[in-house]
Amino acid sequence: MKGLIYRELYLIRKTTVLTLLAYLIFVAMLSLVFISTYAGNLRGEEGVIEALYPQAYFYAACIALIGMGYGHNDIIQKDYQSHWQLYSYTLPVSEKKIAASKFAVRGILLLAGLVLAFAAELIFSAAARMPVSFPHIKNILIICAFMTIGFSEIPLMLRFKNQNKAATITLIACSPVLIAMFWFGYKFVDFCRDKAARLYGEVTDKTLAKVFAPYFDKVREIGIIVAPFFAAGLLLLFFWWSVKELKRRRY
Amino acid sequence: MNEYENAIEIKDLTKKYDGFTLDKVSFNVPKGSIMGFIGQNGAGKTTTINALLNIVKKDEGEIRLLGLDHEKDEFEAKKQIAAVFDELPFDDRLNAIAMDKILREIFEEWSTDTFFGYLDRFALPRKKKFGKFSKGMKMKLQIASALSHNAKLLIMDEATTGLDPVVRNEILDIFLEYLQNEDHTILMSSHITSDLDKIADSVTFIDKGKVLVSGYKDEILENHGILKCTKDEYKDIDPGDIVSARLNDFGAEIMVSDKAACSRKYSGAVIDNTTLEDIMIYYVNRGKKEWR
Repeated sequence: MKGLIYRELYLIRKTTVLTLLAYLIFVAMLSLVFISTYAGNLRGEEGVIEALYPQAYFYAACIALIGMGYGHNDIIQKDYQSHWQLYSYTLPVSEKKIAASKFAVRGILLLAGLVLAFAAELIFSAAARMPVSFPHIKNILIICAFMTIGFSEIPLMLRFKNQNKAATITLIACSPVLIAMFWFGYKFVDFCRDKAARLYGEVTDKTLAKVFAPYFDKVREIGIIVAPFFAAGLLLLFFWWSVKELKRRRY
Repeated sequence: MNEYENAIEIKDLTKKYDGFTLDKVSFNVPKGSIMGFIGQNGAGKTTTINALLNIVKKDEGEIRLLGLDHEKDEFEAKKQIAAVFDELPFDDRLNAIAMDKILREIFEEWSTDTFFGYLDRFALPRKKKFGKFSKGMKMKLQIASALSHNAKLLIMDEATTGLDPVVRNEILDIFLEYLQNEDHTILMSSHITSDLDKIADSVTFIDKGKVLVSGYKDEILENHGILKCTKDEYKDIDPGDIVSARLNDFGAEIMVSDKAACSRKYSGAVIDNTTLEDIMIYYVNRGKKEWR
């Protein structure tokens, strides 16, 4: 299995380096902005850290977590094109091992993304002279757990062989859930606006944020408990599906 | 260590697709020999090889590789098998050094020295990406990797197709060298019959999913012949003796499957020796019986 893992890591090394570069540039630029609020030309400007710091970790986490897995997305399509997928059946390796190697690579990338996301939070907090935010750490963990949905790429690509086809079919299959989520989001914002008007007499960003906050905290607390089970369940499901697809031997 | 007489044993192999059926294919490849597996495009060669390697699931039949069941003992068998396809199955972004690192973790008996030895012999660069290799270089690379894990059975699907004669000869020499070890066996599918004329010990000819001829090459060539006669003489030939006949303005060239018997039966008739290519062409046209 080591050979299979090495192969995939070797093939995605370029995209990984580019992701790292994008991440470093983003973290460095934003850190410089934070530093310049007390040691540069933004000194005296109010509200810069308050506006940027609560969001910065989120974008850095997205770059790290999504970017690290990005290079791995089309590897199965390329394996079909290069006939490696066919050749792999001539090797003394079981379907479980082939699937496990793909999941291991994806796991390594997700873990690396998680470490980078944590690192970004530490760097931003140091640059902004703010304490490390525990809610931010929790949010990163929840995002990371939800990123296991990205593992679905493995069985989907084994099934459909082509990234465009896999993406189209996934979108069609998931459209009811996406529509339900948008509808719920719309209704929730509506509800919060009504509540803000009722409690504070006006609907502004500040009053809306006050109404949102307890709900977000509650969702985060539930999320941090549910996330590991969600991630483990998805991983088991996708792994079982991948092995099944490999056993089909679509030739 | 399992003992076996035939490196490959296939009995009644059947695989049905929409519009094509591999129909009860049976043949054996004796240990230490090279078998040519011939047939025109779409005859069922690749399906048979894919079924052998368990790349496609067979519908019926039995397959034993190196004395092992190809499904139950799949991984044990595959440790000792190397497959070579008509196209390089390695990603264009890889190079030989990376490939060595990958395959040495997959095959227990992988030898880095042997692999790089073959690369040097074939004058293949180690750091150049495969995407920049020519077709001949890619095939040599595939053969180098196939021969570097002490495989006892080499299965090749159209491996020499599309290569120039110089490279093909070079590769055929490597196969003959590989066969110096009596435990080594090769099954080589090809529609370039001249390659098999040179190196094959036995031949199996498949057409439309059915095995038409299978046996030792020398016996097949010995038994078959092309009887040349005039149009009038052609009318007197027993249809049972004819595989098929190529007609021209002057007479007929008839493929017969029992040269000795036909020589006795049609005394005075000229029966020429035949080649695998002739056998293939005449058998493919057997349904028409007469063709031009």
